Amino acid sequence: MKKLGLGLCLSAMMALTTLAVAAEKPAAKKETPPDLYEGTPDWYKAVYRDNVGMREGSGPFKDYFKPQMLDMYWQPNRHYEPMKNLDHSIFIEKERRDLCVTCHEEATPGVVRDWRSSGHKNPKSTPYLSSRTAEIEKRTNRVLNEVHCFDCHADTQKKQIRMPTGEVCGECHRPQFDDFLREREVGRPNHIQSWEANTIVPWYAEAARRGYLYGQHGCDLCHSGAEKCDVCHTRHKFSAAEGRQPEACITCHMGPDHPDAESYGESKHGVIYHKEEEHFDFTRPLAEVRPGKDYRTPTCQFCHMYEKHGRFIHNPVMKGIWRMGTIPPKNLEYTSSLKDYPYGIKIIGDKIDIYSEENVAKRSYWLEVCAKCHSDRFADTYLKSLDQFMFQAHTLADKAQKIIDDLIADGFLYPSAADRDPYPLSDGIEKQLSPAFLGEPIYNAFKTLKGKFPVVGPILGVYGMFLQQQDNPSDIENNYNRLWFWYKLQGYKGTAHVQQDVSWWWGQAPMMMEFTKIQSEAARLRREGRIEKVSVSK
Amino acid sequence: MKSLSFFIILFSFLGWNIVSSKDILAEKNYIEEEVTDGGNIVGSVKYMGDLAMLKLDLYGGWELTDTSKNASEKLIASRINNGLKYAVISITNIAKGKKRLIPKTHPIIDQQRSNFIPHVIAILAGTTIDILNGDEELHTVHTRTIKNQPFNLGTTYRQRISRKFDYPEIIKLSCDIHKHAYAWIVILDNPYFDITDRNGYFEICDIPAGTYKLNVWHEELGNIEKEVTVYPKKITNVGFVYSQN
Amino acid sequence: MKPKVLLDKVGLWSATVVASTALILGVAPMTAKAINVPTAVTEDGKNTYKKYCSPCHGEEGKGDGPLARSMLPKPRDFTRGAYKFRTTPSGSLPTDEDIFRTISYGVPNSTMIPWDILTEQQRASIIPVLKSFSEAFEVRKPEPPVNVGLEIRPSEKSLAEGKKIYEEKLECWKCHGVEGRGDGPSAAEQEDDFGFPIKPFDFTTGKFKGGNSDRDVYLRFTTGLNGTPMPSFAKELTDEQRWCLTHYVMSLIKPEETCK
Repeated sequence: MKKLGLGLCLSAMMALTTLAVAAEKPAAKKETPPDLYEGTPDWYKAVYRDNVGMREGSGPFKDYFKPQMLDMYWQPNRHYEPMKNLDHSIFIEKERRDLCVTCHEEATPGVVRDWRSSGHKNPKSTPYLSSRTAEIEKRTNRVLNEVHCFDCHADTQKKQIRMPTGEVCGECHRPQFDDFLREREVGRPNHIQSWEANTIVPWYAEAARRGYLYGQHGCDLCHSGAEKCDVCHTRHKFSAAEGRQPEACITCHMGPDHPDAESYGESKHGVIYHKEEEHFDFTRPLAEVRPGKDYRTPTCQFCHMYEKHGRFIHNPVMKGIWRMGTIPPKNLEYTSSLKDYPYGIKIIGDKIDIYSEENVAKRSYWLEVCAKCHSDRFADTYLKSLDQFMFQAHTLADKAQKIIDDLIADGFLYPSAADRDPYPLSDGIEKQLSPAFLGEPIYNAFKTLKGKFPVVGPILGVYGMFLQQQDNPSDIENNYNRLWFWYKLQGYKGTAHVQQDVSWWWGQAPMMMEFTKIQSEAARLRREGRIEKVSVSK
Repeated sequence: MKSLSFFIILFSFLGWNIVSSKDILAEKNYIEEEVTDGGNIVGSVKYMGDLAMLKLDLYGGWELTDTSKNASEKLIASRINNGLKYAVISITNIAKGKKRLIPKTHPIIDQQRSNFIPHVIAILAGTTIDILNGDEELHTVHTRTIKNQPFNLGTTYRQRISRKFDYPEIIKLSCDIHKHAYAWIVILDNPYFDITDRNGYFEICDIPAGTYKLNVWHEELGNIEKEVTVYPKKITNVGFVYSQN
Repeated sequence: MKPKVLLDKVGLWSATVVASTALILGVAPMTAKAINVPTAVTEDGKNTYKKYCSPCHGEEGKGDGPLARSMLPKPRDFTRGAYKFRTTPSGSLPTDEDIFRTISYGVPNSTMIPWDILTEQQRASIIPVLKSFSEAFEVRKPEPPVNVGLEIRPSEKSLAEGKKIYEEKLECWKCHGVEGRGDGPSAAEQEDDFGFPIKPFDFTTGKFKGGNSDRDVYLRFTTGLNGTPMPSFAKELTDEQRWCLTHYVMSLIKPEETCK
């Protein structure tokens, strides 16, 4: 009898397999395909999404530079070109999935082994994974027993290999994709617009034009996170657990403008994390993490990806209040030209009202996170002291800006804007950027003065850190850039992440030292200017 | 400099079969005839360099490696008269001459104590060689030729392999299990050749009178060529010298 | 016959029939009719070679295509006429069928995929192109394929005999290791005829480069792998001994370790 059973079983299996192959897949539910550039204006898609290969750059200044070859990997939608050496179209036409692995197992074994250990290879290997896979199966109307090279890398329409972007991941991981897309709601700085931030700034194209394209390699590496998911979930394992570890963030979030790795890493939070890393359970989704048990201290992700009311969101920017510390707050009385915040590009957003309804709500969400371990009063007091630190830092920046404003007004800035190289890419700014983008007065200044006017302070004034030209900017402006862009931000991160040394010795202390340098430099310029006037009049 | 020359030697080894066989390839369409009043060439090949230097194993350190335990036959010269052993002398541009006598008894290359004996053998194209294994362990015999059929055979004790070589070529015969062991089979297409004995002497007989190119080949020292005139029934003396450089 | 026994028989037979049908369906397309190889280089052959082979093997067959530099093992250099997987004796050129077989089945554990993705005609058209790269095909002819004797049944005795050959007579372990992991004492120093380091095969992976059937394994040590240190043992073994060694080598496969 048993043998009969076996026979029947086998026949049934054969029949079922045949049926499964023969049966047409039911038509997928009509759903808008994922689009990373959803909600952006048409001109935007034309300069960031439409593929041009290596012919031209990206962004409004695309015509002023040719991209680096590597940009095809950083910004695949815009620049990717399939390899020319071996035409892979035949494998895609005939859908020979088996051959990908057969060859690449030897050609690039690391990639294949990485994939083998991923959830994509065995999407139903654990109960948790199975349940998540089942959700995706339901949503996409597909049976997923293996997510294969072919599924992500084969462009079946163009019959060529593609470099997957978030849109490809979004076909299955739609909720995560949509969460990521929501970064646009809160505006820059964020991840999804990081390539925009990289190429929309005039100094990028100007530097390329002047022969420093490859010098900006470091910029490209961080700012390439706009379209790709493997920035945090490295390929080809694409592990969610890896994305939950602080190390996923630190390759970019470090250094003088945002020492997150340093400030978190050396804080009590970070030190405990490093000490007890092996006891952290990163396989748990953030929403199910039990603070004190699964995590003894918070990670970057635990605080920053907490949205509100116990919900986590798949992007870390939603609760940001101080926006990286570069944008001045509304809540201060400014003495300098910062009053009007003339050089803040409009797309970054206006000054921040720390006490706006929205920000007060965000603060309460922060307190919800802190309250997992800290008393509400302690956390509130701590974050209020952070606000005060920031107000003081911005006040100091305002004072410094005032010194330079006065210097310019009195004609003592040396060399004066008229006698030095114009602002980077002034010719292009006037042509490519609109008054709405720059603000009417600045736009007109570019139009009439052709870039020969001083641009000081947040945000456009930071050009001096990226591109120095003949006598532009001068020493005192560079000092000011360091004050507000480096040391203020370092102090901010040190205070926010509770790292005392970063807060003081990398932040407040050098900020004040820079301020006195600005003062004495201003005094020197005024003295020299006066001497010059006297000697000329004699 | 040392590393450079090391690489040059290494490289020349890789391309040896192809490059060197062209050097001493004799003229094709050799015509056989009766030689009655031929002359002889007699001579010697000397190596005037420092032997001790070459035997020093720079990479072996103090511990002697297996390779250096076996005396290398790469460069053997007599300590008495500097005569160089295992140099192959041949006339490269002879169009006609004595009969090509292919030996009925197969020349033998034996593998004993993981070495090939003899180290260099010169044969006429069309000769069959027997390769033996005299050791009670496994050896392989491996050649890497293109025109002559290459082979790579595993051999055990008392195995005898017969192989015929049809095209002029210099073939390196090696054992992949004992990497230090190798032998040279020099195949020539006219019968006017000889191989030097341990005192560096050679003799080529019954050469029709005329002027010929005489070439000497040595695995380590390369080729030297000389023009030699042979007179009927006379002996012509020739000396070849490889200097240190 | 009792009904129950009958039912058993029917069950068993239907299982066998289904299984063998599946097997035949799977195998049949590969073993179909004899191939028709053009005698001279054709335009079709040239184009196919250029498009699909030259990226690795190079336009002139020297194994130096643009993709070759990052590959290990290196793509075959065709200029020497040394082909690893043949049915012909050591050193001999391969038959057309041999080349066709390697193209169609590929070489496991290498980037040489099974090119059954090309039509049979295309695959056949490449063969004269490959041959044109080496002067060996001008001066020599492939020798007749070696005779593969009738397979003996694997048994305790044949395995023991095979083990004896592996460990004592032919000392295969010197390169391939006692457990067949390719880690024998002479393994590290091996290099191929082109001067590249080459690893003795690790039998435990079970993905034999020249094919996984008993006959394929039998042929490999009978014909040797031209261009590599793997010699032919044609003169050393009787037909029976070869099957013993074949079975022993196959017994070294460790299925639980086959997935890398």
